[in-house]
Amino acid sequence: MRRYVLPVLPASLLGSVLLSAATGSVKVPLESVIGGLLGFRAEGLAATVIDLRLVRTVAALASGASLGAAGAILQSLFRNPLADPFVLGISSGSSLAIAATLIAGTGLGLISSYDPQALYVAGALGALAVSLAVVALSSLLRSVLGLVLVGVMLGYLASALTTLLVITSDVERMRAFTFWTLGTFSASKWSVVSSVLPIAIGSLLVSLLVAKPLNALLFGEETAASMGASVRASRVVAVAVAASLVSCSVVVSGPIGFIGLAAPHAVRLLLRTEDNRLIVPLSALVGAELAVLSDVAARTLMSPLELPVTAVTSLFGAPTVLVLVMRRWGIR
Amino acid sequence: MRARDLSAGYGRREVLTGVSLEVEKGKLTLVVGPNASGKSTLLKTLAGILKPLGGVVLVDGREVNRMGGRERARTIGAVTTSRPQVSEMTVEEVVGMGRYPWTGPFHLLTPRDREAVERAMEVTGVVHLRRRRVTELSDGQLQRVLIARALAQEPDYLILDEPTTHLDAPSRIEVMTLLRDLASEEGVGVIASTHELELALRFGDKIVLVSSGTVKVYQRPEDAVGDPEFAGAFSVGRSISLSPVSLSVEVLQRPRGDAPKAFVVSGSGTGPPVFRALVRGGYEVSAGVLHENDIDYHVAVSMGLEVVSERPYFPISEGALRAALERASASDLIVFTYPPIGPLNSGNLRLLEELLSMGLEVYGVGSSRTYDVPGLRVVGSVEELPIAGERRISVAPALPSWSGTRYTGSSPRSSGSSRDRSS
Repeated sequence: MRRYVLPVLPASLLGSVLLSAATGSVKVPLESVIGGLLGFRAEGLAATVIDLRLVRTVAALASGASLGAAGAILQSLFRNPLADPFVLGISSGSSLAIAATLIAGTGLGLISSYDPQALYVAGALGALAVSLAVVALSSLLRSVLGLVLVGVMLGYLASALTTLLVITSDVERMRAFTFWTLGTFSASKWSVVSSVLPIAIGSLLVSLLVAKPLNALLFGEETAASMGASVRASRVVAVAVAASLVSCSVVVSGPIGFIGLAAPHAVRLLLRTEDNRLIVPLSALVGAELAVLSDVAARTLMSPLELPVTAVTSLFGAPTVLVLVMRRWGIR
Repeated sequence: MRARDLSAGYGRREVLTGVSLEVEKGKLTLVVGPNASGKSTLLKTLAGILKPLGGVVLVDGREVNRMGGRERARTIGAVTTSRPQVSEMTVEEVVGMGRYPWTGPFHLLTPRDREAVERAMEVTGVVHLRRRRVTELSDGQLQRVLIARALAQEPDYLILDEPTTHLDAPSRIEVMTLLRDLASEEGVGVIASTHELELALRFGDKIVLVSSGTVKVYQRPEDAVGDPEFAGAFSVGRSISLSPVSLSVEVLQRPRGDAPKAFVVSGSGTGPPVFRALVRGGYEVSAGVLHENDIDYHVAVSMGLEVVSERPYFPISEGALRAALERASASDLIVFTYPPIGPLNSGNLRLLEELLSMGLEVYGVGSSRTYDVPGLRVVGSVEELPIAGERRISVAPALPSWSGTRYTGSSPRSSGSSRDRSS
């Protein structure tokens, strides 16, 4: 199985990128797409269209990969198959912090209208705050579902506060932002994507280093310690990396649900493995692909209307959760 | 590995104090003690998983607690009671995780690492399971795999918390045998806790008793057995005894004033099954005449039975015979187990003659007996002996009320067989 999956995944990712660049209200022939992607033969309308689609495709790649890797880390860290940045409220916490920074910052003139790096820092801190709250609660809550419920409620709380902030602030400035709080790739700009992309790639590289101690932690804290893992430090790094990844994703595209949940499960299902050295990077790959495909679906399903991408991810994500819950706690 | 004046516990709560002990390479040290006495706390502290509250644990003069994680893991391997959540991992992957303290940040195994994994799997006998997933293993196999994982760290010392709990009987013995071999053949210093007192006494080179907040170290299992404090830690109101010769645990007979009495004439190992059956059946059992070097004597004394005895290698004396006769004739049940008879114990045959001539009924138990004694009431096995309280044997030889009391008992097996005999 592994032999077939490992080469197929990158190939299909490439395919979905091409698909994303080719589909939309304006028809662009595939050869112009490939040519455009390779940096030549792009002219006139096709060039503009490809450029627009390319931005959101790259945004989807970055955001999806970040969410996939973050989801894999969180699932292993909490030993909870339902863990995911969105389910645990981490994405919502991140967007609350970003919205607050954006409104306060631009209102007070501290930051220019949309400074991606400042927003990344704010988003990472917001994600970290919610993550730490979940970590603290997880030591009190033994139940897997209990933790999820707490996460969902924290998420609702953060979303409600975000909505309050957005509604009470300057309507004109917040119009685009409202759509952003629902999760979308349509508002992506090169300026944002290009400054967040290196941070996302850096975080993904660090996440590869977390895989080894995460594997040890599968054996339980004490055994992990006896194997030479520094349990506390590994946990701190894992939470921090997940928060950073979530923030990258949120800055680019707002909170997007279920990609972080579905990607690691898809990888586990395909490879039948518990090895985080495989699960974390491949979840990034699958997450990227899911995000790109979801974006394509969001653009085309109700065309010319565009759906928030979370609406699409929920269509496959929510049933995934239901199946997981049924399988583990449902009818025997 | 040496612990000096160690205090161990969680947070500020001291569980153990004043612990000094040594774990030697090449020896299997087994830690026993009542539940919640602090066995796990002790082992976790020795393994460096818990910080000692006082004192030190030293390995080759280095303090375990000051070692880095990797260095410590290369010195001490541990198998804890927590169940790993690695159901989809293969055995080889799990054992490979043992190379953790040797590999780089991506845990890529070098040929040297693979060799160590292979060796660990060989020693623990799990090579043939290498492609199996953890979910497909039995509890005993999983335990061996987890031990292999710890061994792949190539530690000098191996610490195991309750490695035989939750295992079935054959697997327990298998795991214990493995631990002993790891110590004696691989030269690892192994220390493990166990609930199983008897296994501990048989397999351990050294015994550590954890009880009432401290530990006591016995250099040999025999020393532990000889210490009343040791048996006391396990027995509620003196309900068991430990045999210093066979290192076995016996249930002590608890005398009740009104219990019917049984007297057993045995020898050379023919008696213990009968002793135990009769004690279970509610009799107060005594035995004789037994030589003090006879295994039956030894078991009888361990079980707390009254024994009429004779000095080793002396013919049975008149005095002993008279004492036995007195005791037997006052019993409700007399049983003979057909021991080998020679010049030194032929007195026991005279004892039987006397008893029969008094008109007492004597049961003979022994399906594979090599000789007969006339006048005995022969039954095939202990189960066919009358059980106390059900049909108490009266001293009168003729027993017309047999058929009337036949079905009053609660043991269908014994009443069934006696019916077969009488019909």
